[in-house]
Amino acid sequence: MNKRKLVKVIGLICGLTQGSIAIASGSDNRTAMRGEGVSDPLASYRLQAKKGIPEAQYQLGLVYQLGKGVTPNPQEAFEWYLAAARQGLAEAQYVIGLMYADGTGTGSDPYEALEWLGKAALQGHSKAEFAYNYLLDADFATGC
Amino acid sequence: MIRKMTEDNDRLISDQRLHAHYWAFDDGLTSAYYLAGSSLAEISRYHATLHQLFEQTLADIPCPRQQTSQPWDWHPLLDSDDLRVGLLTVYPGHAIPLHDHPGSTGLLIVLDADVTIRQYDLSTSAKHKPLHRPVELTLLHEYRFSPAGYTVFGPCSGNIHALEAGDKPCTLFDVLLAPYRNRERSWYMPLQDNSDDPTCVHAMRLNNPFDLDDGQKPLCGRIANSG
Repeated sequence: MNKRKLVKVIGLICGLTQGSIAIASGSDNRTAMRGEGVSDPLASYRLQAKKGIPEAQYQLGLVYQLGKGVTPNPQEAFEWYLAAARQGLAEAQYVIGLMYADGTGTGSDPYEALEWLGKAALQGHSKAEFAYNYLLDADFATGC
Repeated sequence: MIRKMTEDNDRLISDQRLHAHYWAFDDGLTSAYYLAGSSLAEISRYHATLHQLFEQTLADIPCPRQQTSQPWDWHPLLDSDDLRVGLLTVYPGHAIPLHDHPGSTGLLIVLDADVTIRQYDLSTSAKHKPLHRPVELTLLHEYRFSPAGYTVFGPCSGNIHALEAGDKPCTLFDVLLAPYRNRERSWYMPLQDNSDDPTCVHAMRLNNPFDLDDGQKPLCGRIANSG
């Protein structure tokens, strides 16, 4: 086979491969649109959150709080964050603390806020540590 | 001979640093006066005082030592109705989280070491929904400053900012025109770790410490495990 023919054959093989990849990804998207696959992040988070995976519960909380592809629902967000926080996820404990401090998605409760922020801070979460110390002590974070 | 050359060289470097700091001071203040909409009368009233304070500071930049569990120290130089000036030291491994100075115009000049400063504005959609929570912030500037670097912020531009120290304590000369009261300041606590992409931040506002009686406070008191 001369060089020119060889290049043509390789080009044809590449074209066919790309085509089959495009067909496959189109198929995946359709499956995801129907909510049957895991390529739809919301469906995937929901599935895993219901199985009790704390990282997925936290992500689902974010989805509902920020309204990413859904209508914002702070109450629903709070429930998912709380589920993750109860399992010890520091990031969720921090957000639950902030929500209790602010009264978003739940009633405002300074003691619950400090408790959850304190739990996250003791796990080394630096922003939770700052929020805890600030909310607890009027003399903290003065100046600047 | 070599010692003389070294001394001359050191003096030259020192003079250049001094010149850079004064340039930052003059240039920064000009921008700050503009952002604050200061009148000529106000400028002439502020300028001599500020120049004197800056000169004194450069003559004797304090050697920062961390005294408390706080991530930073504030050393006040002047606190009047229309001016607040102080030295702000951020300790290595620490950051001052996102916060604002409502209604104030500010100038931050780095005196020594390195610091990263990020300045944000409320996103356009957030400006129309002031009570919406969490708030959305858009990155305006991100600077990594060395000595004589400076930035300014106005009441409506870059007012929300955060500082992050490098591997040495960083001291800044901090000027606020039309100072706010501490109780008016908000802290913006990000909902997610945005270190990979700080351009858009969703954050919850903290406005005031809780008004708890001493008997109701948690027994463990402050937590200090970072830094």
